[in-house]
Amino acid sequence: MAVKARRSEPEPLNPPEEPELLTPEDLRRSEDRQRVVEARRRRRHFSLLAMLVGPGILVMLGENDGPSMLSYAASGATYGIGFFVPFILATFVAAIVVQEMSMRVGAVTHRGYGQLVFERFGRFWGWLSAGDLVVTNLVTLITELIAIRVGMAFFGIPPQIAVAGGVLLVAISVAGGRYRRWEHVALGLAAFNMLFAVAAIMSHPDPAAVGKALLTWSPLPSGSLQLFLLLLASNIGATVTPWMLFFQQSAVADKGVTPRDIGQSRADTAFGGVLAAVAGIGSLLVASVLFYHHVDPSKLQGGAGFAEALRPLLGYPVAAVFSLGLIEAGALAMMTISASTAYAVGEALGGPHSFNRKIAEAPRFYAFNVGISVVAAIIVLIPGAPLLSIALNANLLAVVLMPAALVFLIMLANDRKLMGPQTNPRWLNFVGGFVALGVGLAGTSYAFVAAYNALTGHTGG
Amino acid sequence: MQEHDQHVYLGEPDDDLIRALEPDQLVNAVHQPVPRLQLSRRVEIALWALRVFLLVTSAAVVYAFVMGVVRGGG
Repeated sequence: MAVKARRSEPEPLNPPEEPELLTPEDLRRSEDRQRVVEARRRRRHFSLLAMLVGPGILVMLGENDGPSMLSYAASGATYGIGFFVPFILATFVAAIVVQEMSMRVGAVTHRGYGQLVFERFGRFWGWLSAGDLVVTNLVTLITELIAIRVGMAFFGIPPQIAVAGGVLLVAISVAGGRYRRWEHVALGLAAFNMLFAVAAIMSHPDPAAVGKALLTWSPLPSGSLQLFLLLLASNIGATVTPWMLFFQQSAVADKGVTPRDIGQSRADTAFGGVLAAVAGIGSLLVASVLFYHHVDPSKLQGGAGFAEALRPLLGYPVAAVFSLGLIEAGALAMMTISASTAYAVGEALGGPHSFNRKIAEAPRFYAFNVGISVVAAIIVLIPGAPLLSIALNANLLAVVLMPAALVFLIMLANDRKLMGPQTNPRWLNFVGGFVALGVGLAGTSYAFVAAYNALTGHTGG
Repeated sequence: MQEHDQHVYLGEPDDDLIRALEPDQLVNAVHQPVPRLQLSRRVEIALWALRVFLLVTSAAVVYAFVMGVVRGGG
């Protein structure tokens, strides 16, 4: 039963003392892994890739969530086709760099991000990281339910049914006791993120303007500095956030990815990033129609939203596709963000934390998975709760807390004892450090400008 | 006994099935903690400084959020 460590891989961190002591989780994971081993042995490259994709696509399309798509739409409606088109592309390149590190650490150590921070840096930093995550995830889940609610309202569905539907989706998707099943449900849902690209094609954007924007990053935004900083930070928060690190590393470990699978998992992450960038830019392009028709996007926030504003300009079909996209964005993010919370809490508390467990085998994991969605739903349904303000600040809070999470990730990826030959190369540390600095600067700039304006009573608009 | 040991498989698993997993991938191995990293004083101070800075920044975001709600901007 012992497997020799390959020369290109680090030695196992903790070879089991009693290898015959197997849990049902091991057996379920090994069934999936056997298919991977078989495909590799028979050199079925496409099958191998198809079996190993999942966490990368899910993390990228999961982050194309309700507030993210609205941030892209707000950028398009405020500035048209210009600076933010290549900027979205650049943020996804940053996301791919960061998530590749997260994937690699998970594949080599077979441990989630939260577990490694606890074990390697101690309980204090571990609890702080987990605490940051639970707070930002709760706030983000509220915004996902808002997105589902707004999207369904377009079709006349009452908010109670919309919110209950979101929670029910999370509850149903976790039943089954197999990571593979959960991943397939999520991937099926993720395909509908491309509705934003469909809506963009239906809106007939000017290809010359898109090409010029991609090549020249122009026209540059003009007007209010605070508004520009808000959209800049929101767009970053729409692409690079702490839950993504927790989720992908834990999902990679739960799926059973090993160092031999890093190539395919890199492709998974990059492909996910490209799909998410296409959908994100699609959202911007659709909403840019509002800019060219001089519709004030700040007026939309208090009204029926982007879909209603798009309907008279682009017709019902485009507005309906945009609304369906919003529902999908919120629904998929509910699944992935709830999962990242359950993984993080499970890793912090030390009990079983895997989709390869039945509910009876890991009740706490599943309770947190569904429980945080229920709490978010209760808050969303409180009459008079400041939902819009919560939605606008959700991405921002994630941006502000991201540098701390990134620093720990870079330290883990540079930990030679953990990573062996898979340790970060120097150039990747430089890029990772640059991303952490950029995210930190964007979050800090907006936070202090907004706080100053709140203190002095300026609207900053 | 750790919680995960309460659900131990008692049958005879197929050897091929188990060989598909790496030894350090088994639940039993993953639940054994890796040793704590000894951080240098400089790194500790840098982590603390970052944490304090992020708390101040988060407080600014929360303050702006609360003031927005109080003034009816929410």
